[in-house]
Amino acid sequence: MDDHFSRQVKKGILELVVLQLICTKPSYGYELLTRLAQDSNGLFTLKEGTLYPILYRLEDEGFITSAWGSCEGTGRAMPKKTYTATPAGHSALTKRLQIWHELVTCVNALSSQPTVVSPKVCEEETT
Amino acid sequence: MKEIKQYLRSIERQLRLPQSVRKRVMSDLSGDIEARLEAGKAPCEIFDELGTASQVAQNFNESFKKEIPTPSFWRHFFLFAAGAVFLLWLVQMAFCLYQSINLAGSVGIIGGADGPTAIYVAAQPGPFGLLPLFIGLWVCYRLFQYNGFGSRSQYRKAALFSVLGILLWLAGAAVFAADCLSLMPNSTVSIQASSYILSLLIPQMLLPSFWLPILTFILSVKNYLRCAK
Repeated sequence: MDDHFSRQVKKGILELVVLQLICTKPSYGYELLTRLAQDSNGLFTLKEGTLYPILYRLEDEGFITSAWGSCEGTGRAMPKKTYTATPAGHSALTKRLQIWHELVTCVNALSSQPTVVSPKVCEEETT
Repeated sequence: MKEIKQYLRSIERQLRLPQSVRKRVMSDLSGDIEARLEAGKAPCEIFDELGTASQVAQNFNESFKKEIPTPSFWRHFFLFAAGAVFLLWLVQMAFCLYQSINLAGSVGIIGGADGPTAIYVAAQPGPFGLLPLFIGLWVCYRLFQYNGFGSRSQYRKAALFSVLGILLWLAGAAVFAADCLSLMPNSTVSIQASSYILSLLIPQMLLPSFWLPILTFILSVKNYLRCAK
């Protein structure tokens, strides 16, 4: 149950986290995976199969753009595709972060209220 | 790096994704494997990290399942209709060939009929053939298969096919008009002749063999422009 909840929450905020990383610094796929794993202390350990659909969705929505780097002088056999945030991506991130902060504040306020155990449970415990 | 190439080829073979997505995934994956090699990882370490080619492909297939819409059910209808029309066209062609061999010179013209009747009889059964209709139905099938998520090149091909259908219809119409004119008595005034030919052509324009390729052309171009944005 907890696993399911954790997965759902992660899934929901993954797009926001990836957009945040690209807005901070233009990155390529593998770089994003390592940064995500390092910066989140292993909380977001993703595979390419999870990251690429998010990247393509963000690109199709116009929040990020991709550009192939040059191989010349690097000794690389294949070029790397770097993802960069667009102005629309930056404004989308601001809006989404605002929504996220509002949600966190709301959940914090709700969770600070004392919890009440139902009388039925109390009766069971006494017997 | 033969083993890396083999690994990538094996993944590509097992991907069940549209061509455009497959290309995108493979180019990104190649770049990311290259980045891992640059970071000093050996190929076997990379394979351990990513998983076997089947696992990677399966992971991608599952991840993209929700992203890729299923083709429309209506495509079956258009495929069936296109097949039926194509068969009909083949039968028509065989019949025409048979007639031209055995009944040369007497096709569709009733002996002693007046000019307009001779033209009307010569015009049957449909002077423009079924090929434009077949092309229109085939493009419809492809458009319903793409379901709005085809690539630019797919929509470009669909538009080109539609143009071919339109051109075939126009060529058929031109041949029909030329045939009609040759059957007209020389004394017929040209305006009268052309208005008569038009009166025969206009009902043909109401048939799907005329408007279907035009409709598919408009839809293909619209989708192509949407992809180009």
